Amino acid sequence: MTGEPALWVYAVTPTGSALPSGCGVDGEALRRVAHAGLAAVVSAAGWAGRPGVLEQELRDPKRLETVARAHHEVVEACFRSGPTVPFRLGTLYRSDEGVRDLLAQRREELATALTMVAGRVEWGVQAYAVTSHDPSTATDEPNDTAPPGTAYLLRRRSQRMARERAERSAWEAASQVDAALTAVAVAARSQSSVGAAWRRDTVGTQVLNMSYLVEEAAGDQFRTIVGQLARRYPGLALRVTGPWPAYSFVEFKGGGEG
Amino acid sequence: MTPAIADPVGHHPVQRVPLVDLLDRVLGKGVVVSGDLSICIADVELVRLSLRLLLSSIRADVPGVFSGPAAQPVLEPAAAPARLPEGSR
Repeated sequence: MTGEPALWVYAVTPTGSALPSGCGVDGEALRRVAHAGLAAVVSAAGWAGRPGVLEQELRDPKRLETVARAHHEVVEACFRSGPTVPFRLGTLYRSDEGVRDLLAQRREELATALTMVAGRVEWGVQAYAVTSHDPSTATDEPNDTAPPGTAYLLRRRSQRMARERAERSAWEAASQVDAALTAVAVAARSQSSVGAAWRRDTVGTQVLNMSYLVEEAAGDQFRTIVGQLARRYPGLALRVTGPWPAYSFVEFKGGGEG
Repeated sequence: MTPAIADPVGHHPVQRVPLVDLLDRVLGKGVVVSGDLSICIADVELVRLSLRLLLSSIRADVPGVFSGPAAQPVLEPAAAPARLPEGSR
């Protein structure tokens, strides 16, 4: 079902960067469309050439995962070889001409973004409240003398209060963690996560979900600090992912063209 | 335990990137321009799509925050002290 021509855009790099050796979505060959020092890494995506087809296909979870991983793989390969401005999944143009127009029209912003991310990587940090951890909860039971039903209710109430206390202190700890990491980062962005909702059931309430843009050379220092913070705040479960291409630090204001 | 966290930039295997974190980024971040054919799924719908995808693959791909495969870039609090250099604060 290949329809009209379409080009899938993965990322923009400086023209000096090498073209990644792998392939793109659906195994299509990668190539570059260059203009004025900027190179967009693209591949043919005829399957998505007719309006609506892309949305239709991505409704299939397996297809979405395959496409998302393929997209990321190219972005990641670019990122390994130089400054990379990742594009959101599903940005398509009809022709090289269209891509070149994009590079011309958004030249300034793309160049600024490339400068911003050069030599830097993104680390994702999430924190979850570990509610079962608080040891003070166990001592909260002055109800030996109360009737059984009342004792049960009191115990339930005391458990609930302990949980709330633990969560409150987790939120406070999370803001300390954020402050400490922001201090060593070039920039920080909050990250909205599709996973927050289901993780609450399995891990605990998410109290922090941030991305930090960090100098590549400071990666060890960053991880060390995370480790220190993890030990300082045992009521938090910290989770780190990365290093990522700087997905979260290339947002353009306005979104549309022109 | 967590080699990915200690790896130099870019050396973690792409296939092992946790799906949730990947979707947060490729669908929720990155440069947004109005291409000739850009995806026109509303944010709300994207979230719904992603959640469905997650539910269909939680067991296979995201075994849980602290029990992932070794290459999953997860820092376990208990694993951290070993990598602590002197005097960083």
